[in-house]
Amino acid sequence: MPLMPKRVKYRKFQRCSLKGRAQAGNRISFGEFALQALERAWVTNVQIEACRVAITRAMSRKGKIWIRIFPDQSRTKKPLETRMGKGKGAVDHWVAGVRPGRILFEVDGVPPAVATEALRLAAAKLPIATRILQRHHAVGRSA
Amino acid sequence: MAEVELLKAEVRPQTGTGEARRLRSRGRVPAVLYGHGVAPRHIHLDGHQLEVMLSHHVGEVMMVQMQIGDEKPVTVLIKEVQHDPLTDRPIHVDLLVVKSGERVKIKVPVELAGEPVGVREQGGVLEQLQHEVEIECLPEDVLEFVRVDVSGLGVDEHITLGDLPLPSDRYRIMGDRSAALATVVPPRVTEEVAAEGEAAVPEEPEVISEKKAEERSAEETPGD
Repeated sequence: MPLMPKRVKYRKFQRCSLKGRAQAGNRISFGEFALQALERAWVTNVQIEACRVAITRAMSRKGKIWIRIFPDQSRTKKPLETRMGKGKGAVDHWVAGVRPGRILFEVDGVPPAVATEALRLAAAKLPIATRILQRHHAVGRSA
Repeated sequence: MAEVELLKAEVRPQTGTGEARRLRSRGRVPAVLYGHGVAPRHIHLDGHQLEVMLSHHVGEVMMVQMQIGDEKPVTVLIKEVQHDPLTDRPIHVDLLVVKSGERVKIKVPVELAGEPVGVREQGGVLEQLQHEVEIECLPEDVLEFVRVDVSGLGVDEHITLGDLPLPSDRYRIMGDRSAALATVVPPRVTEEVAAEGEAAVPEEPEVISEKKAEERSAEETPGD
């Protein structure tokens, strides 16, 4: 089942601003290694799931993963070859707003080389520049 | 105890966000100096000197000699350093004036040493539940970090704050001594949620406002 809220007050959202830096969720809280966003983007539920699968496989299902973002905003799309008007389109997918500094994923319980490789593979699934963090130390950057 | 270094500082005549930002743009780091029976003083430090000093230590809590302007150097404790989440540069420092014989409360990082038996032989996962611990000690006993051996830990076993190798006559652990510090959890037995190529069927979330409207209409209908 794709990542999406169980209950919502309204089905369709208006796109809000993504300006500024991440004021919350910008520190490592659970694991030893983390992937931090350096740019802003709307990250989709499919991208988050692809990252999760990449990390799980790279860690051979060992260790532990924390997903620190959740796609709680819907995005709509009108069908192809449809004239404008006639109301807002149907919900197409769900997104999470990511600002620079936001911690996206955290991992623990695996050797450092495995953790950094897993996060590097996850970073390749995202549309933004990220960096890998270890508690108190920056390990490397990926554009 | 960490070695004592000399940190140069200047008095900060103005306070506030704007002034702090102006200082940071000039390579300075805003700081505050306070202590028991001492009026708080707003100062600023050399950012480069601070970064070099912090890079030579594992932890950030340490004793330093600090000289404000031309005043006599005083011994202070770096109590907390705030870092920019994106650049990792220090943005603010809390300094505590210490008096000999007066105990101080500090937060020190906990480092786990060794590979637990539960991980090595049973495939468990070592989980650290607390990454720092608050302790009370004399200024001369300040630690940069606490290392605890977890090599004897089996699956579903844990160590608590009370198990920290700190002599009780010199260190007092703040908080619940029975609180778990690290544990080895059994290996995960999970399956991949969706098989490759299998199209995930998107489900619609429940809409609260629609549900309420339905309930309202259902209530109104029997009465009509």
